[in-house]
Amino acid sequence: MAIVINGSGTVTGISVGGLPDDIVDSGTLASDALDSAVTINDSGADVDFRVESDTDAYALFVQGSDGNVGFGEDTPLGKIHIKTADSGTSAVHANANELIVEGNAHSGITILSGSTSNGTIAFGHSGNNFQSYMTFNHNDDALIFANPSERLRITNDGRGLSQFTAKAWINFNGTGTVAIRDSHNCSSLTDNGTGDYTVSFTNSMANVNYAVSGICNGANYEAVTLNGTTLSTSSYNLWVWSKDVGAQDMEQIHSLVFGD
Amino acid sequence: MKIIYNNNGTLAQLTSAPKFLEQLTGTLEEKLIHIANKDLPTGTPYEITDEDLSDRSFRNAWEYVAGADEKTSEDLSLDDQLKYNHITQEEYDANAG
Repeated sequence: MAIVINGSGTVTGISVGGLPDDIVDSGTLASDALDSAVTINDSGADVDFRVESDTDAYALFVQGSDGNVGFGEDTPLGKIHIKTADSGTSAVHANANELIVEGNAHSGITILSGSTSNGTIAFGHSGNNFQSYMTFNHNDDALIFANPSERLRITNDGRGLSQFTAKAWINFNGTGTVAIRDSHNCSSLTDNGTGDYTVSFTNSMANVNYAVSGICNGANYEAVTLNGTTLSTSSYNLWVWSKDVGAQDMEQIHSLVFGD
Repeated sequence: MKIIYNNNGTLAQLTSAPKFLEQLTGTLEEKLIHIANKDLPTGTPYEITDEDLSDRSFRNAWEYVAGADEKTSEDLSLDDQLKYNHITQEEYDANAG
């Protein structure tokens, strides 16, 4: 094993090359002598380098054959391979092998940020080093996806703000005791009369140019229509209409909203 | 419990969304008052009732009659107006100062 220490100074307390198994397991590198660059394996030989901890023989491992670095891993599968336990995977995809995090149970990466700042994973290339990104905004607890303009924001109350996620939906029973089975971003349902309902948003729409869709049960050409022609940013009216009966209460009435 | 009020001569009954109720704090009546302030036009007289309104016969002929516990919807606080996207941050800033 070759160890080259560049720069002037002294190395005290260690013996290199004299040990039978080429292991340095004690000694001190004098701190005031190591203020220059230190190179291990300066000749570029295909030899490994590793550092042990009390429980991990490969706490830090540099694979001499390819320069891959392992943390807790003696055969790093990519440039950096961090492993707490073996998942049973023997190879990773070549398109995603720069950084590997491995465990045999739940595995993850944690990004710690300031309490009012963002934690970000960014995507870039030679022409734009911030082409797309995912960020968590700790100021308002929102998860944001952008490419590069913001396309989807998941708010801390569970709403998805985008052009392609439903802003609100509701499933309710319009017969008997009018009841909401389930809903999203709806604070209330008002029964105005037979087949006539108002859905109020928890969080208002940004404008009235949103789209409403609705459906109901029945087999007599029933339809869910907008009652009137205007939409409000805070609510909209639904009218359940039957070809022969006119306005009618129905048991299954569903509606959803897309827009800003 | 429902909120009932007069809507152009006909009784309207407002049912709160269970998921929204879960987000609110306070007693059920306090939660319903909050919803009334949020979803009814300010100044609307209303009552909170647990009356059985399941028989919808002649539904369009139902009329709201004020009772002893009638309340009137009020404006939400500025913070709540911002929270519910009723006003913009700029409007909030202009009025909060």
